[in-house]
Amino acid sequence: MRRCPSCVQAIHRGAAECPHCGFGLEAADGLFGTEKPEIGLVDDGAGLMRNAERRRVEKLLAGFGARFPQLAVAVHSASRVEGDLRAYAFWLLNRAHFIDLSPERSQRGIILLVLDAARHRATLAWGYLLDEDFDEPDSFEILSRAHAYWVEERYGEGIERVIEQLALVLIRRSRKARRRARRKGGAA
Amino acid sequence: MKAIVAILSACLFLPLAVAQEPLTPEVPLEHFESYFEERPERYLVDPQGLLGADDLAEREEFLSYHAGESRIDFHVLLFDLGQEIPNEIRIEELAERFFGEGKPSLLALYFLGEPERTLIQLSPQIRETVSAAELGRVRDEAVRAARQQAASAEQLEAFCKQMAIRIFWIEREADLGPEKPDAAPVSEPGERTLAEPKDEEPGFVAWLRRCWDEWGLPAAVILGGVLSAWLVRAAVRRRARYVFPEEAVPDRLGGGRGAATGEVIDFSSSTRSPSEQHEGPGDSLGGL
Repeated sequence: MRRCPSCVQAIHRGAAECPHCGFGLEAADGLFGTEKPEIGLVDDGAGLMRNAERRRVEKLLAGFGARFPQLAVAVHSASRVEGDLRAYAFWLLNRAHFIDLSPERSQRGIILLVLDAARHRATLAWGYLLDEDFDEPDSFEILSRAHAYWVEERYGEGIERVIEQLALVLIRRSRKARRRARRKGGAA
Repeated sequence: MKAIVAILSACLFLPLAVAQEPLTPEVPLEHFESYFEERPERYLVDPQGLLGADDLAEREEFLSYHAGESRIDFHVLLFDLGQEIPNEIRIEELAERFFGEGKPSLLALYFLGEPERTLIQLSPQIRETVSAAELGRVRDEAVRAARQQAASAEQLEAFCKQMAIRIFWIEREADLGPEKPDAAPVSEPGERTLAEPKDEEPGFVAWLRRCWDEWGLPAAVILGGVLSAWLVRAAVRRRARYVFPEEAVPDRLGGGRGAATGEVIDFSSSTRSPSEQHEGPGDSLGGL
């Protein structure tokens, strides 16, 4: 089930804007700005990670990228997100220019982890490549792995756990997706 | 009259005459050389002929057998009941002089019929490995074994056997080890007082060793197979690439890359579980 990032109500998979609250990317631009932010795949704007932790995270992301050639994980921390965190993640996923994203990776294969340092919240947003195979319970399972670390402000370790758990979940989902594709191919 | 006087004097003076005989005679001088001069060539030294020929041969044979099986010889100097060692003779000096070089040895000065007077001493090479207190316990155990026998020859036999057993443990203490694994004498249960060898394997290690002896090869093969399979599987998984089918998904809410967002998890409280700290999706249809 697809949901509106703003009001979290169920919406049609091709809805141009939310029928409940009217939310869409243009409305998000009104909330978070029209300039396209240029950020790296690891963008620790809130300064939550030490250099060593950041290097470990980057190493994990490289390993993740090797196993999932279509996907890319991006990590973004903000000192404070004004407004709804889901809506912000949706806006950033679609508006940001990820400067170190290699060209062979699909823009629709980005998985974005957003942390709000001031409000102690985090969420995930993901591209259309995973639209059929990744859902909200998966995101909760993944973020839960980091919860114990983040409450102790061990952000780097928590992010590492997120990436590890994300890989495990996506391995399962990838198998499921292949079976689904085979079934569709057989039916065709 | 003369006869009466003779009888009376005999009655009066005989006890005195007996009393005047030394109750604890020293070792006759003519045997000093055999006892104290040089390292004994035999394991049982009995120059006074205190033992019968058969007993002497048996004890000598036993001690020879022990010497062949043990890394520590056992020498016995045999003295008579009530005999005193000259004051100038000390067993420590004897052990030093006799056994200062060559094969380690235990020297015993044994008094026939009086095992409790026995003196024992180790040769210098191994003296440091056993404390005086332990050596005393070794002696006491052997003496106790001897005193359980009535006849003096049998007491000596029991003493020698018990000492041979104790010498085995002394070997272990001294880390000399038996020359042959099956040469160790078996002590009687519950009688060991010398400290057990410190390197004795604990039960679990012994059990592992037994399992290895019995099942070692098949277990190693199975374990190797499982380990290899696991390594191959890990290598395959490490090299595996996971892809998702590219399906036509229409853009949603104007987003060109994606429009799906997940749960928001709150990590402000360390006392609440993650499931209590997430903002689940609402549903304006009330769950219908």
